[in-house]
Amino acid sequence: MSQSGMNESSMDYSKKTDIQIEGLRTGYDKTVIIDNLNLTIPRGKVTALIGSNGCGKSTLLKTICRIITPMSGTVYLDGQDIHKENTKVLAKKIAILPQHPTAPEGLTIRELIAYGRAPYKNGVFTRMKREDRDIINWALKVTHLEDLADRPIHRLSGGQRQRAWIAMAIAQDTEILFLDEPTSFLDIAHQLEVLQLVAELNKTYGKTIIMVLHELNQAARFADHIIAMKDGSVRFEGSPEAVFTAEMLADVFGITAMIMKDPLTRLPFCIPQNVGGSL
Amino acid sequence: MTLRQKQFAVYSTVFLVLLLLFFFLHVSTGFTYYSHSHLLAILLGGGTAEENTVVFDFRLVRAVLAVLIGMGLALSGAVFQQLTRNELAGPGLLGVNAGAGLGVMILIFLTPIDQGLPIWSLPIVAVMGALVAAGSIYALAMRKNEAGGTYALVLSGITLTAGIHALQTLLIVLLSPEKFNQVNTWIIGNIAGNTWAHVLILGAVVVVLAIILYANRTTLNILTLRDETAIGLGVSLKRSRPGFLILAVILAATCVAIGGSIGFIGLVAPHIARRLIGADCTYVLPLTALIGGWLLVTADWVGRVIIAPDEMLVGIVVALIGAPYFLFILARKRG
Repeated sequence: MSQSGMNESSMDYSKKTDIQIEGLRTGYDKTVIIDNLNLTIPRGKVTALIGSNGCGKSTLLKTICRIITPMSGTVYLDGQDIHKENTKVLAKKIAILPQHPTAPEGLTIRELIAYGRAPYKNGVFTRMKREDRDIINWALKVTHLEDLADRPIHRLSGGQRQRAWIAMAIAQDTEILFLDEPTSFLDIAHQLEVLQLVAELNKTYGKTIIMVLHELNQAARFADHIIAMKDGSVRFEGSPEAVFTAEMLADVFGITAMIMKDPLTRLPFCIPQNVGGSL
Repeated sequence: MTLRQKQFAVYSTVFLVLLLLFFFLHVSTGFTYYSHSHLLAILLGGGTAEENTVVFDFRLVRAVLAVLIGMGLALSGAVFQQLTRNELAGPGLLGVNAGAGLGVMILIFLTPIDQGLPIWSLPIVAVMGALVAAGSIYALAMRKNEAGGTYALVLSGITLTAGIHALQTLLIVLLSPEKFNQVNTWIIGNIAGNTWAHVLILGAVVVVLAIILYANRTTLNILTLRDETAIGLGVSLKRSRPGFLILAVILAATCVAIGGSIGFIGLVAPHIARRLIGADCTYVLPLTALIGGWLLVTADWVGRVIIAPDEMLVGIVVALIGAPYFLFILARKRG
């Protein structure tokens, strides 16, 4: 980030190519969950991964962001194989918010956010620079946590805690942000709050967002690009309007549902009717 | 100055003053009584040859070693707690005391009784034994789950430590009475009977490793978050975890080799530090060292005065304080 401040122009992430996934085979231990997957994830947009439990969406997310090393295949970021690149270098390009992050007791929000600056520490004894402090303050501001900065994480509500973790991830100042079910275990107001923050990070700061979401209507509303998975493969992919069909819901989730248009946003949403029952 | 920095300034001053106070008390305790002013004069170079021997070669060596051992064990415990994300972890759980003990016992067992041992031999066999034990426990815990579950670590720690103790008991049966006394004193923990050479060896190890750990405090911090978070922040788990483990084992094993199998300091000191200053190693590490140094020099002083003119081995004093504290943490965890 340049010294000019935290405005849009200081985060110029243009001239970046999309994330390319080629012939990916991945899973846990020896269990293959995803096989021979080819996929392109657009840069500068919000992408939502959806699918029923166990479909491999979390596995895919974790493999793309190098938490899981694939058995074969490649994930390319700007022409580089992610799984062969230096992990510290990558930490300046991609940040991850895992599903259930935990922090040790007593750690304050400000201290946690400061951990997000770790990839930028070079010498072993370097003190925190002004730039680091600026970004930490910016992360506090964007996530509306300024008044709680010195509060320990374990005393926060679920929504505040999730915002604190997002603040840490954005303090990493990366162009790409991976979020694994960022809204799970939050009440509806806090879910909206987190997703609106995600939208702001994309629109105002140009960040690429890739997230796993459970709530379909939230995916339709907040994502530019939806990837619907089933049994380890991508079944449907595209804009919410293109992906959100009765056919997709029947195939991917095994439900019949009515698809309607939100009168305000003009975006599709669904009202689930029954489990099972193909078209 | 942030709130944390103010807290740190206050707490570190408090424990530094406590440390210096009990250090002075420690040095002023012994068979020969010196008034405080006279003791100060001796310390500043105004003593007779005999006074110098008593104060410098006996008392000061012992007090300085107590501080260094306390600091080393405490720092090592702090690192183990970071790595395992468990406030019950310490050098003992990772098999350092047991492994180092076995190394020392084998060395004593194999050495003829009338043959002196070079000063560095004990630390070296202790470090080797501890590395084997801690490495095995770590590998055992990591084999199932490359992410390294806390419970796997704690369970394999307890299991392997029990196995090593069985081996020690086997060896004890085979020892001569003289060697048994030597080994037994070591197992309980005793700082007396050392020299400035011991101070030099331990001092170098503690200072160098403390600096390395503090320099890498950010990585240590990140390791307490989940593996996924740590990877996301650019920390290489495969390199950093074993690296810190080895440093912590060397630190604790060297302390244990010179001071005997003192337990609990590595558990209690970082725990107190965390309760006071939170979780950031920037503050936790220095405060842990101060508390550890203070605790052990105080425990050794208590051991010297509590049943005077006899002396209680420092390991017993520490265990008498440490065991209830361990139970207190356990009870708190349940609640």
